[in-house]
Formats: sequence, C-alpha cells, structure tokens
Amino acid sequence: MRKKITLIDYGVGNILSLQRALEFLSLNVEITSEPKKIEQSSYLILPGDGAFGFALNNLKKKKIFDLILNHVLNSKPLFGICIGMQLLMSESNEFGKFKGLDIIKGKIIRIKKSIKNKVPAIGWSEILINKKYQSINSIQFEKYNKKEFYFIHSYKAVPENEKHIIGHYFHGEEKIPAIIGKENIIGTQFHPEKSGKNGLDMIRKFTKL
Amino acid sequence: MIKPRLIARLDIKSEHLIKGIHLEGLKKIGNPNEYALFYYNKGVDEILFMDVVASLYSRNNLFEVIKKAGKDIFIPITVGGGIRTEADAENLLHSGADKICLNTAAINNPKLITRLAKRFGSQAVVLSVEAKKISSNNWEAYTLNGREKTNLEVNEWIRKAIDLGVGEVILTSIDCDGTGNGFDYELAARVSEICTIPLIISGGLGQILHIKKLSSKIKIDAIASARALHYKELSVASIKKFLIFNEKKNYVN
Repeated sequence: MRKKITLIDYGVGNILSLQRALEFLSLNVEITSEPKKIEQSSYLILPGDGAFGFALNNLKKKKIFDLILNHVLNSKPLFGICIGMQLLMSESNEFGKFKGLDIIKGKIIRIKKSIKNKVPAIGWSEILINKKYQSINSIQFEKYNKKEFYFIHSYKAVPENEKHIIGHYFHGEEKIPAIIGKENIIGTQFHPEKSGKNGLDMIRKFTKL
Repeated sequence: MIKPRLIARLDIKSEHLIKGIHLEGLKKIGNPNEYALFYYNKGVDEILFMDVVASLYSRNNLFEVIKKAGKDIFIPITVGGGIRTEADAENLLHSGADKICLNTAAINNPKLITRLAKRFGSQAVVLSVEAKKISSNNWEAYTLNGREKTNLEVNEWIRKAIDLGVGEVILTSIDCDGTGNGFDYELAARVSEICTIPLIISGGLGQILHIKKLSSKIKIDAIASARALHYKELSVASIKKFLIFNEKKNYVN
C-alpha cells in the first residue's frame, strides 16, 4: 500500500499546489480538516499563507491545534510550510500577540524593510545549510546547500536554540531562517511545492522519515 | 540573497497564447500550457497568465489553463484578467493560482484590494499597472488593455494601492509592449523610487542589452518577458544569467 500523507485543510493557503506536488511524487494524499483523520495520520503537512493570527484561529476553531501537539508527542513526522512553519514557534506579534504551537521555542518577527530589501520578500534565493543543526533522522540537508528555493513572506521565525536552524538565507544584511526543525519535525519558510525540483525532492525526503 | 526574477508572461485569449504590440493587434502563437511547461523546464522563476479579453467581454477562460498548468509546473503562478469580485479571486486561487493580478477592478473599486489582501494576504494580491506616457515625465494608468484612460497618474495610483494592501506591482509600458525595442527606462526609474514593494517591469525586452540598461537605472526585483521568449529571440538561461550578473556588479559598486 502506498504511504498516506495527510494535508491539513484549515482554510489557509494554496492547498491545491501541495496536493499536486504530492500526487506528482506518486504519493497517496489525504486532504482533511476532520479531527479523527488527523489523529490517525502518520505524516502530517501543515500548509499556510497569509496572516499568523487568522491561521491560528482557524486551527483552534477546527479543533486541530491540540491534535498537532499530540502527533508530535507521538514522534510522528510533521512538516510545516510558510505560515505552517511559523505556527510551530512559541509566539508572533503579527497584527496582535498570539501564542503558537510552541513546538520549537522562539518567536516570529517582522523583516526589516528598506528600498533595497523590500518586504514582502518575494523570490528565489540560495539557502545556506548550517554546520551544527539537530539532525532530522535520515535527511541529509547538506545536499540543499546553495540550492535555490522560492520565498514569499514579511515575517521570519527566530528560534531560541541555534541548533533548530537547519538553514538560512540573507535578505540584504538580514539573516533569515529558511529551514528549522528537530526530531521528526521540519519547517520551511520557503514553499517547497513552488520551488521546482529541489522543493519536490525535499517533500519526498520528508515522506521517507 | 533574493535574486532578480524572470517571469514568463503568457497573454491568453480564448485559451490561445497570443501576443500583440502596444497591447493590441493580437496574434495567435500556440498552446499556453505547452509554452508554460517549456519555460518551467528551462528554469524560469514564475509564470504569469493574463486573460487579455476577460475585462472586455466579462468572461473568464483561464480556469482550464490554470488547472492544467498546476499539474506539472511547480513554481509560482500568477493570474490576471477579468477578476472583479472576491469570488473570482477565490475561484482562481482554488484552481491553482498563487497570486491574482488586478487592474480594471482595482481602479473601479479600490476597496476590493483591501478586502482581498485581508482575506488572502498581501502576498497574493498583485497590482497590474498599464502605463502610457502622456507628456514628458508624466505617465497615466490605463485599463482594459490600454484602451481606457483613467486620469490617474501612475505613481499616485501605486502609492495608494500599496496603502490599500497590494503586495507586488507589475508595471507594463503600453508604449514599449511587444516592440522588443527596450523598456521604458524613465518610467521604471520613476516608479522604482516610490515602490516599497516588489516591482515587476514588463514591456519591451528584446535584447540582453536592455537588461543591462535597466539595471543601470534601478535595482531590478523582477522583469516579465512575453515576446522575446515566445519568439525565441532570447532564452530563459541567457536572460537569467544577465539579470544575476548585473545584480552582482551593482552590489560590488
């Protein structure tokens, strides 16, 4: 039987593109907001676009918030993308103060704006893999060093523990975490489903955890 | 470092890829999905589909094209043409578009920008500005593919749209579009001074030299190319190489 990947549909983000990417990789995709299905899932993907508070409220309204925490407590793999990655953090100050899932300690802050380094940051950037990061089982992130990925965001995650930053990129002078993670949990600020072959490859690696 | 982007612009009429000059005199070129897939495989950074007649005849032929494109293209897809309501935007975003692009509707109903930005995030809302030179140092925004005057000065309109919540601007020079004779550099420089969000320059690319000239005037966030790519006057690789080469040079200076 093909492995099933559960994509959380909580009314935020371009789910269709992710679904298409997973199908392109011949994976069995389940798109759901049903608590029962999320509870029984083995691989969870938390997508997202737009504002942190709106996304967070939807997670809570649909009673998915605690299920994600349980999923992580059971050491099952979780992949957060863009806002989905930011939700893994402790808190955000985007349009108010919000407490996130607190799976990775740290906060979300706004990227500094200048006429040379515009916000939202939109486009492709090479990422640099850090030397010391907490390994995520079998994934060798080094192969993504200096590979390009597609970013579109105005806020960035700042994990307290440097070890949780797997890779970063620079927006002007500002260092921005691109991949964060620990144990079985990965978060990417970029959109792997919009980052061509390298992005698809990273999604495939996650589904092999 | 975020690199300057190359966006392949595909103007569409009744499911055909077309291209005109000065946004007029449209000529059929081929199948938009085949062209989009070709550009994706060649390493283009983004795809822009523009339904050029949707605003005129109140119809939207883009859905099938976008749905098909999403199956094998894994880079950002922006869609414009005929978007008038929140429901139009939602339908497109749910069909596989990452961003939607507004011109006529934004000018007729500026509040729509704010509603869409609040609902889908600023990053999903692109303002399309079709600019025509009226006199020296004066450009006006047009609607309906360069047919209708609005009496809005370009910078004034862009400033307002940024305040209303757009996340990106695509600036098309009606005078240069489809000519291959180079960008409207003065227009680009003028808008670049006030545009605090990413700016896509569209209209006029025909030679590599045009990129060099543009990058001497502004820090390029992105350029869009239609004609030069469709007629194979320039390749994706050569444009990207020059975009990045000139960017690096600017940083050293």
